[in-house]
Amino acid sequence: MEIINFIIFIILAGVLILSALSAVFAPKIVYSILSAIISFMSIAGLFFTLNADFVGVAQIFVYGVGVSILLVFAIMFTSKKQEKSLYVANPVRIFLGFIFVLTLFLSVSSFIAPNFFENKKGIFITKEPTVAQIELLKNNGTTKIIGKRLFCDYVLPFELLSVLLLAGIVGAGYLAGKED
Amino acid sequence: MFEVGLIHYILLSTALFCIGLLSVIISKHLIRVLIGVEFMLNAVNINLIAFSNYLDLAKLDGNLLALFVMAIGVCELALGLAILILIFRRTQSVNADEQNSFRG
Repeated sequence: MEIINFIIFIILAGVLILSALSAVFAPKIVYSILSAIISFMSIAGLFFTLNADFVGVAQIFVYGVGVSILLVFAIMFTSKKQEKSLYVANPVRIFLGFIFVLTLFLSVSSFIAPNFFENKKGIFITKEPTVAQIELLKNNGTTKIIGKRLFCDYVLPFELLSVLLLAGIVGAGYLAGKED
Repeated sequence: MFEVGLIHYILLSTALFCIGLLSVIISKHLIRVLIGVEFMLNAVNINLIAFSNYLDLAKLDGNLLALFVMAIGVCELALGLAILILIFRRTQSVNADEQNSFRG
């Protein structure tokens, strides 16, 4: 059973990393957006492996459908014959960017790597869930808990978020619909 | 050896964050810069949900924070694309290196 989980994780992580790299380095912007959609979907798959069904479905709705339609419409509005000159920046910036990003990645993963190879729990103390919690998640999923938390403890950020979304809709419509 | 733990997810989200940062640094197309920002937000979401799964399965604070991050990310992307369309109408270009009208 553990080996099946491991194989599923490796497939999802490989698809995610490869499609994210192809979104950065694809020669045309359309391929880049298609790879970005694939990587958003594989992120939704990773959420399902982490027992987060509600957030996974929200990821498919929001990123896999909404954001991809928004990006495709944006390139349809702004397409001209300029693909070759817009590929990536000059070599000095690419070199410095690679060095900066590799330094960041190695410095973060050097904290994690000793625990990773010895297969310990590491500096993060993980708690095993109780039997009642596992039964609750098997029967109901996470939607009931999220709904209760969202409308009891987190109700003020939730309402502020709705105001922010309204401001975003009005602002985006005003900016993009303005005729010069 | 073949047990997926919290450390795997942290390494994966670090790699995804670094790819998003690389896209923000080296790309010249403005839509690729926005896709890089979305990758960074999604890496944060993977990290939040992994910690919520392995540490806090009773209250699920990480899932709620991931929902908030997701809504804010989509809002930011919509405003960014609206500004991009406005820039394209004004200068007929989506090259990030040519947008220097604030230089004075």
